[in-house]
Amino acid sequence: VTPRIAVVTFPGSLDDRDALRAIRLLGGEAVSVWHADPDLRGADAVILPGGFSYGDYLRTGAIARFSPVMKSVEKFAASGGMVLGICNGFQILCEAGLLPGAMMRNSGLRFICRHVHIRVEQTDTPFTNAARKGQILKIPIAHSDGNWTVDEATLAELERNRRVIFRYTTPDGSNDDAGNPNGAMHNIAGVCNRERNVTGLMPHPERAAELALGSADGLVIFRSMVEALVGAAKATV
Amino acid sequence: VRVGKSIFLTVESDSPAAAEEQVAEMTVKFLSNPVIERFWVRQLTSEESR
Repeated sequence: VTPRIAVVTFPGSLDDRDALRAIRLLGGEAVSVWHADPDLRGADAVILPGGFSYGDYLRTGAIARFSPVMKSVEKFAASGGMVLGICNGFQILCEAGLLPGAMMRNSGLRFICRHVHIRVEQTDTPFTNAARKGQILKIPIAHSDGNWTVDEATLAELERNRRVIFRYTTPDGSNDDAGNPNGAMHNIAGVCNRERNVTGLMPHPERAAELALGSADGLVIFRSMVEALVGAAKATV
Repeated sequence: VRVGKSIFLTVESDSPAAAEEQVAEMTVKFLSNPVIERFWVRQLTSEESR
């Protein structure tokens, strides 16, 4: 069973090829989808990659959410399909209402491009099932608008229902506040939807997919997706 | 510190009220994000819009 994972390219996407490569490294079939084409090409999962779709005009992700492909992504997610948003992809999912919250400028008002550390908070998602709970991942960020924010009631609901999937921390996992690069509420680096089939995170796992890049920690996210899809396929045989 | 943006739109409409409604709808659906932004819509006088 070879899972087929689609990676959407918007005008201004940067990391689509890296995401395609990460999937192929793990034996998945990676297919590219152009944002103007609503056909998801029979994909078993969809990735919205990082970059600066539509030049980040108006707000990050605000224009991309109206791309023709997004109607298909919304339908796919509603039917239980697995959708991962990375950085700009996370911003697009928030703008589309598939994930809660919104992105503000980083608290330091600067673009930040460096490795950070995040802790896997939950492993009962198809994006983290190959990770250990509490595992610290070294993964790069590259954004100006990663200061994730939401109203207090939603934040409480997310924490209560274990929908915070990744949290910034220090390399040893001892101080989350000190590891937060952008001011995101509760040091949140990634969240999922209520059904747990849609997740977004600001760090770039596809840029941490082999040791030559400084870390291969990001692979665990793609491995989780591939294994979840293979498991699901076997279960239906 | 408050950060905001001003967006100037020229719309074709049957009346000033309809124009304002049209712009308000655009603002809700697209131009603003209610999680982090609030908005006000105001029609400019012909003098102001020059």
